[in-house]
Amino acid sequence: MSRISHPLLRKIIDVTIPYAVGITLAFIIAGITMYLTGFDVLLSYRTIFLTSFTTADSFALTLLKFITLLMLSTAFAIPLMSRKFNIGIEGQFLLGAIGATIVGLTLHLPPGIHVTLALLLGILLGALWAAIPAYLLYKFNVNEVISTILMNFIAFYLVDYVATGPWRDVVPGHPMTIPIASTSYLPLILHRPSIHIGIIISIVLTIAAYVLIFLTIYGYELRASGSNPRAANVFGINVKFLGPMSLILGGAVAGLAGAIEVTGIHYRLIEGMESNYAPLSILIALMGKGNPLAILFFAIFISVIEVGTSALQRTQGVPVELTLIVEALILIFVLVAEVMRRR
Amino acid sequence: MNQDVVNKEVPFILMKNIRKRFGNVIALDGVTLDIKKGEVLGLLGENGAGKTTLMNILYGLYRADSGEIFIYGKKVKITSPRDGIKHGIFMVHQHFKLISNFTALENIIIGTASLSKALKPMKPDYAREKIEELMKKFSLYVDLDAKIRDLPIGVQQRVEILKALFRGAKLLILDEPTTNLTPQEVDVLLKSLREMVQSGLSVVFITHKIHEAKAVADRITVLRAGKVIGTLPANKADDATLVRMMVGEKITIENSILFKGIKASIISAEAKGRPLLVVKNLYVTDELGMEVLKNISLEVKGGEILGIAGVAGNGQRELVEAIVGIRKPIKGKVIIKGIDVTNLPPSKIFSLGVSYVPEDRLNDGILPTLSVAENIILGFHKLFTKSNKVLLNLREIRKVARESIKKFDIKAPHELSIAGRLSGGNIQKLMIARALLRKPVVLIAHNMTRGLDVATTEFVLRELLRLKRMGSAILFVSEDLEELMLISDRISVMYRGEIVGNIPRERFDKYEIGKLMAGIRG
Amino acid sequence: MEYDIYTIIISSFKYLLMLLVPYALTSLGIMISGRAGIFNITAEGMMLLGASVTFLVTYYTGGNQVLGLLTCLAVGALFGLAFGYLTITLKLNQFIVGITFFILTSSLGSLLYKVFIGVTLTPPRVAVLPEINIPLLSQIPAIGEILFKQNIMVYLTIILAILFHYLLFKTMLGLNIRSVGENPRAADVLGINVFLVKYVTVIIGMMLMSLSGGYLLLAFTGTFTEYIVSGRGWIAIALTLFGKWSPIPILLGSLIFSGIEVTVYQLQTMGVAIPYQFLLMIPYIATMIILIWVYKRAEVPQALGKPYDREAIEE
Repeated sequence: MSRISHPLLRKIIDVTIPYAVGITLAFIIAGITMYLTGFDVLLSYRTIFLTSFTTADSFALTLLKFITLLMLSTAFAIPLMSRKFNIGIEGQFLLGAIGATIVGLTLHLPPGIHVTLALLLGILLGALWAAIPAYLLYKFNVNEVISTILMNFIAFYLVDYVATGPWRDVVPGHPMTIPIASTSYLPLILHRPSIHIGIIISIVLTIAAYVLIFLTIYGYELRASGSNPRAANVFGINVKFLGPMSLILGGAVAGLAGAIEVTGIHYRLIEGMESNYAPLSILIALMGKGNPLAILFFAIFISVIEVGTSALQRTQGVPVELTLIVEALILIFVLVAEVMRRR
Repeated sequence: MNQDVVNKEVPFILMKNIRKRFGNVIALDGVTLDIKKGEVLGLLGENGAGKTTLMNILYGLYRADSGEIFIYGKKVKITSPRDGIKHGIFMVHQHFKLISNFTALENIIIGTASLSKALKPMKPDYAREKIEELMKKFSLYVDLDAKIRDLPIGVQQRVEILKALFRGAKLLILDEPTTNLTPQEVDVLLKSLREMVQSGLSVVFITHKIHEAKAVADRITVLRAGKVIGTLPANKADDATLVRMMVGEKITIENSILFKGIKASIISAEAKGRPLLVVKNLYVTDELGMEVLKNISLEVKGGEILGIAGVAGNGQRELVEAIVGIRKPIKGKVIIKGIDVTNLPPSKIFSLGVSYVPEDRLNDGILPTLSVAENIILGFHKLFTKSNKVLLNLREIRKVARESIKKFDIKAPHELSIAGRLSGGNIQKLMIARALLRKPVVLIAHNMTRGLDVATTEFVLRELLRLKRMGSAILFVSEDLEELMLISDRISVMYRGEIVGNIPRERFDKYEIGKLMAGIRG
Repeated sequence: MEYDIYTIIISSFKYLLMLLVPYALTSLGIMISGRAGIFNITAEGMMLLGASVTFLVTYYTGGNQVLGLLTCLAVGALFGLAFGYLTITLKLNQFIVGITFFILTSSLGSLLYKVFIGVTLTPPRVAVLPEINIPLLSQIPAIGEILFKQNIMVYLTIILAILFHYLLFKTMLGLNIRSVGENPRAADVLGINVFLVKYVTVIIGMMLMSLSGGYLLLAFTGTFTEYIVSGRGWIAIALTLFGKWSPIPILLGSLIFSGIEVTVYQLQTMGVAIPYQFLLMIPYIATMIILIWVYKRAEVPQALGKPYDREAIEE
């Protein structure tokens, strides 16, 4: 490695090596475990990595998952920059979904306005859901890790209430609402396979997040308050306010993600729609260290794997929790590798 | 061998050829040093010379990369403080290692029982008798049941020394022990040390002040840039030789402020015009409602340096924070350039032309995960935006950073490198660069030169004099009385949150000021 | 079934003590490593993994509960060691490691169950922990049933809390441990093995969390679902804060949380007019309210959450 003298190239390699090591190690461990429990390792690897690219539909599915993961990761990343852990993205996501469902079921509006309102209410409710822990943090210094997680549990029950209440669709066995009005559907940019404009929204959002965090004065103050709250405070940054504010911003993004999920994919509120998006997104954001561009890259990677493991569960019976375990292992190995490299 | 003194007897402790590096920096470059039983060895050198590192290795807190340690001729391995203590070596660091929530007694006895004994119930009078004996023997009186956070610093130091004595220390290493003492307290400490030495203890007294070393030590070993320059008996060492040994040829001693003082013509430049900083009847309370500042009034004119003297913890920090806007006073006013800034936030106060160098550089000064450039603009960051007031003007930020790095000789690979990797001295330089980014109307500096080596200290003091000549009003808070006396036009002394005395330069007297620092009024 | 007030009260109080265990055990686990400066938030996931492992071992050994619990302790120790390595030796951020370990252990818990048992129509059961009849005392009407006829873990938990109290506040070992959490540098220069203290407390803490999960499995229904913990691990963190990182306040405080759970349960069975979802929200809302109250009484070990590096330059 010392042969490479060009500083930029060396820096790039320096940064990526821990990730390469981490990913490789994690998959080796997964492979060994699969082998020991009697699964066909090679076939499993092929399924995991390649399923996304085998058919147009699987590619579309990957893209749709990517949209949700990208947005939820961003929702976690923004507060992360001020050292706040917004574990509540799950609850905020669900509240956004509830908001969109309410608009979709109760209002009758022309198509453009209807869906916009659905998304707006989703953003609002997501922000509100984060505002409660944010306020507790601001006023009473309540640790946001615990408070946002508690809000998640409350959100689950809220979803159950809505999905089993007067709007319930009694036909399917699983709790869910009746479909929302078609005027509130998210427009598609592609019809076969169907891909909605969430892809544009999420990418724009990611770029906006990057600009916000690294190129604006607000982002500077955010990162400063995360880096050393005392020093930031001493030099005039309103640390007390910024942390909670970033949580609310994260909540808004997560709420938007939930609203998009309802108006773009399910067209109704389904219990369990949060799936495993939240923990996946948290790990993605941590892997990318809160940098939206890095997160974009990891989100692509994880959505491919997630589609692959779902397929693997169907064909081989390997439980889909595998994705989370592998992802957690990747993050751990990356962190370890980075420390080792510095020694 | 660099020994100027030949010992015929086997020394108590011999450190041979000690080498230590931290990353790319060589802290100790083959140091050989000996300590005799029953002596006070003065370890003299400027900040950064390696004195603390060397003693940390002897104590076991650090491990040498190479080299050996002998006790009475027998080679020993010291790899942790446990080993150090086992051999009777104990170190009192510059920043006390005390647990503020525990009592003095608890702090003294921690970790002194074997595992089986440690599981037995501990009575409140555990070891009390033995400790009280030690207190009487060496005149180190402490309220054993008081919590450390309620004890003044001078008393805390006694707790630290009692910790050593309780463990049967044979060698006591004191790292810059006079930093937070009044001149009178220093005398008392030196007397205690003499008593300990008379009863057979050895002492290593680490200091960067020549007169201290000469006052207390039997022999003086001078360290410079990680090497031993020489060892001489204290009574045979004259100031000029010691200075030369300490700083080498880096400083032209004839022109040095620190060693030769400031020409009267420079320092007595007339202060002009109305005061730029006025504090009127200021009262500040802490979170528990206790008064930490009582009726503080002071004025600083342009072209003037007002020194604030006092032992740490007498309200200096609160005063500085109240002026800069971090703390809100409950009564009184702060007026800058004629404008009442009492309840304004720091950002507004900085924008009026106030610069601030906080005391606690690692905790209050830098943003460790951000770049050097982003650190330099902290406090002024709102000025570095493009016309829309939202986007950062990155090019300008980097330009300013590069200039500052050059001007203050900050050793960083690049203006975008991470600030957290800088050494302590460079962090302080960064903070000074930040404070001097624009010529300040008012400069508030708290312990500005603490921990800096001689060359940098010289540079900083010269900068201050330059600002003074250009008309800035400077509030210089320092716990180093000598420095204050060197550079201030006037000195106000703080004690228990009040100003207990104002002394003009003509009447500067170390012991008189020391009395005020200790709360003894004229 | 007769609406017997008497029986309801007795069984409520009995459940109160039975439910005290998961909260108290987990919280004690968080507390002990917290006293040495490590803030371990893995609890929720570790409990799930502990429950999963306990079930599988007990099930496949034909009902050997002891072996099940021992295995879950071993698994806890293993993860404690790993957690310790990452946070103590490598000095990684404790919250980040905690969140990652939470995800890892809860996924592993679900995965193991799925791999070995899979999806079944009726979930398999293992035998529930037997009650211990304390002679004579358990014959006392009402109180005897509540206090002296519990399973062994209830008594062990209470004893453990008392033991921790004695250890931490009445012995020098406790003083040493607490000094590591207050000011590790001060403890280090006095010869205390800071790393050892941190490692041991983290491992013990993780073992307690795992054990708590195993208890949840064996004490009530003997069946495993991925909802068996349902937030108690997070609530235990709140309990630790509420109990000022001290064993006895934690023990007493756990009664509050188990009390809330029992009340919600009884309200549900009594058929109150409120929709059941809102009843189920109560424990989480109550926890947040309690956290507000904690703010005024905050008394945390001063060096909590900070990694210790002996060679770090300090000012």
